[in-house]
Amino acid sequence: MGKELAICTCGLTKQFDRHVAVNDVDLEIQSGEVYGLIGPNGAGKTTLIRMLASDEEPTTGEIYLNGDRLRRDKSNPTIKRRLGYLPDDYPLYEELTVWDYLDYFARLYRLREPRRTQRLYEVLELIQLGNKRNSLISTLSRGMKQRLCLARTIIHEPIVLLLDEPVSGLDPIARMQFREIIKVLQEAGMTILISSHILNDLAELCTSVGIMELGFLVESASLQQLYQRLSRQQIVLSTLGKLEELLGELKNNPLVEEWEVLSTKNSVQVNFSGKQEDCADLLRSLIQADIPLTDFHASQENLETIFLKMDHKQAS
Amino acid sequence: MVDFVDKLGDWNPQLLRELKGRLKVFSVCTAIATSLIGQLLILLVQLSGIPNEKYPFYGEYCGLRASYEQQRIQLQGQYHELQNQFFIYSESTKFDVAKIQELRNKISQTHSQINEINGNFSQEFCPLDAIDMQKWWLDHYSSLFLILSVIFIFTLLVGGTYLLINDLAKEERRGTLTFIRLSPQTATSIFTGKLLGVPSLIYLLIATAVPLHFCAGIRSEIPLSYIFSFWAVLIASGILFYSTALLFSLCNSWLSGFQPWLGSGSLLVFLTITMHLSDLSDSYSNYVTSWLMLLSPFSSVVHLFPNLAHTYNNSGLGQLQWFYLPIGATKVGFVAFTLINYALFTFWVWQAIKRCFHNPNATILSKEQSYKLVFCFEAMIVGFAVQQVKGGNQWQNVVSANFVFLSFYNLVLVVALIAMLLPHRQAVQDWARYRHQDVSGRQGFWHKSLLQDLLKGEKSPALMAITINLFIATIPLLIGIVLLPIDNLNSDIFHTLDKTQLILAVALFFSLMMIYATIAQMIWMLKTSKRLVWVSVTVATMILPPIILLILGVRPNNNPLPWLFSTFPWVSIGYTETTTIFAALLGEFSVLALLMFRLTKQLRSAGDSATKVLLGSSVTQV
Repeated sequence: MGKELAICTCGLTKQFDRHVAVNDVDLEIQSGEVYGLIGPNGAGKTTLIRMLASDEEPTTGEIYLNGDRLRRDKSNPTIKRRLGYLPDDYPLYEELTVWDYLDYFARLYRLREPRRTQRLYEVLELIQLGNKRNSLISTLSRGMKQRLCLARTIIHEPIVLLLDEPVSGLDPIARMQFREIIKVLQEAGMTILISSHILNDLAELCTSVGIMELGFLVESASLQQLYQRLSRQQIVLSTLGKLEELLGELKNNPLVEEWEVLSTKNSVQVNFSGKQEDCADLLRSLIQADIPLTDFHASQENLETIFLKMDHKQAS
Repeated sequence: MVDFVDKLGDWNPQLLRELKGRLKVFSVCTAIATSLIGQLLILLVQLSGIPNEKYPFYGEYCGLRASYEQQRIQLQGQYHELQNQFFIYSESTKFDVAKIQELRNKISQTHSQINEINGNFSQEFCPLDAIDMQKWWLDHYSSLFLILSVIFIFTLLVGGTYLLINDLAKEERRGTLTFIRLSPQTATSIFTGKLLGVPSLIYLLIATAVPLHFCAGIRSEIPLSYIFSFWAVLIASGILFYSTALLFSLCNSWLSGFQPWLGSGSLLVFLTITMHLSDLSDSYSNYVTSWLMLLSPFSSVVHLFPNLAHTYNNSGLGQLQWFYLPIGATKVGFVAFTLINYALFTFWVWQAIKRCFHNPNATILSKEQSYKLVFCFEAMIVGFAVQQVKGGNQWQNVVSANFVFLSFYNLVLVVALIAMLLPHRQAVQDWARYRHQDVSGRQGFWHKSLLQDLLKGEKSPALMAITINLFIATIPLLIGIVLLPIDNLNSDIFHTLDKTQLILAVALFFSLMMIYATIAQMIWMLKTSKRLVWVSVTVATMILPPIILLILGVRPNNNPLPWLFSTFPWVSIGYTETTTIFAALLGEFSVLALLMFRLTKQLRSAGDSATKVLLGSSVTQV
């Protein structure tokens, strides 16, 4: 058996009027994983996360966090201390200072001195807002506010972190800073569920991915499995000689599935179904055939391509 | 100090946050300054009336006038006595010239003395040494005490209510309440923090004036225990009204910016009305309306300080009874009962706050809680109807009035139950659609039964629960009717009613309330964003028909039939044949059955699966 399940849902369904936003979802996320939730707008990602955060009541189904049943009507202080939730709109108390805001939430989550002050310094350092601790929240930039809200989410050291579109609307530098923070949290052992439309970010952060469409969880696997199953190897080749000669040689190799001539001069992109050894054999055969190669570059299809290829584009 | 703040924050983080946000130097100084200036102004206005050399001779505190008055009365007595003697000695039988002469001199002397005193009455001002300053200061302090008490009641209750509703509405609007909700803090801790912290400046404002209040009370010879009793009642009323304000804010976020004005405005109207009614004797004795009066702290003011409120024990409070328990007989009993009343309803408000905070989509109270609440409410109000009535036939009018008041209370109760118990459209839809799944996991016949769901279920329609509650509410009426010591009730309100007619009136009221509740439930399940408006219109139509009938000049004695179908069928029963009442009742039951049938159909359709709907629509299309 693998690790303990940090998040487990059984037949989780949420219906708004006749519209089923989340449909019979059985989600399993192991402890310590960074789980990326992707899908088109309206696929049910936010509703699912809100239910996991106990901000929304499921129509039917059950949620377990570290084996304990989450019930919305009960106050559940133990489970609430394990959870950190960052919604996509991150409302803040603009009239408070950064320190007072975090201190307030630390107290709400029953952190006592001297641990509280120590923790406040830790998170301020992590989100790089140490120098702004006495500033009013209203004076912070959007990226800073986003990071502050993340700090609020992790102040009580939750073991499960639910992040809903945390980088939407941020500039590339702010996004990069945010990614770095998530990596630190992952190293600290938190289980993180993150929904985002920026798939390259997810590919960099996640260990597993779930794809939602029409309210269903249509795919849930580790990133490694997903790449193995769905990502093809692509090789880009460039030659100084004639392109026809190169294509002729490629046609002789049974592992070359299809090719596409690139707009750049004398370059071709090949979908290759072989392993790395086969890749080396192909290179060797081309050199033996006196093809004047200037570039031979093997790469994998990225998450975005896989997602687009899978054609899960329907909102629920 | 830092250590204290830290401990306070650990005990209640919400309180610390509220205090940090509000107790800024400028705000604190402004609050204290406002309070001090206010006290100074009141004192100055009071002191402007201090008697001086121009104090009128006829003024209340001029001791000379009383002394002259006494002398004049004495001399006038003497004068009349002398005149009588003069007439006696002037008669032929007792004629005595010497005596007559002597009496004449004395009469003339007394007359001149009277004239002299009368001359004193014409003087404009009272000499300073004749002014009763001791009495003036006593009355001055009494009046100051009363003014401050009234100001405290209005400022604390109305101002605090406004601030609390406004604060919570703001939190709900910007979405920050969600984070607090997701924290491990209990609703009690969060809202205690709000309750103590949000109106902190008002507390400060009042605390600055407390020394003057106590000083005025002690100087006006009010026992300290009475002053503390006043504060206990004021604090208890504050907790109840503040808690109600928090609940109001949690449940009516759709009212947006209008919310605080509506909440505190309603309380202001309530306090103003009860302040004026509190010194009227009819407001208390014998009627169930006493309960409403007890909710106002002004009742305690009148009872504790009758001399200040100028009611001089005529308010009827002294005779107030609850199930024959003489609660008005002693001040301790009255204050204790008022505090119990506040505590009881504060408890219920907090039950609702806890539910609404943890799950904003839940009904305000669960069905089971509603039964207990209605029982408490009925026990409390009916207790005021069961008390000793003075006077021979007056009790018939009192009983009749109590029937009307009780049915009005029950009408308000039905409106409140509709607001508290109707589950959201989504909840009913989920219940209808997924009930079979929930039931399959339960053990035992009772737990699986539909009846159990309708009586106790969180998401099931509220009609069965409203029916049970209506039963609880009407049972006291029925018991009252059965126990009436005579066959007929003659009164100004009802004309003449026998027991059967009274029971029929209860049945008519019951069926009409059920019709309204069913309509409200049906509207609440409609797929329209204007559900709330329509339900409000339905509720308003409960109250409107009697008003319209009165405006149109349709009187129960001339035209009883329309009144039979109104919210107050009581008034027309005495003028209607029993067969007609039966026919009306039958008609109402038929309408109710029809509505129930329609509602069941609506529920079945809401519970249809998506596949069934899809297949149904495709069949229709074919």
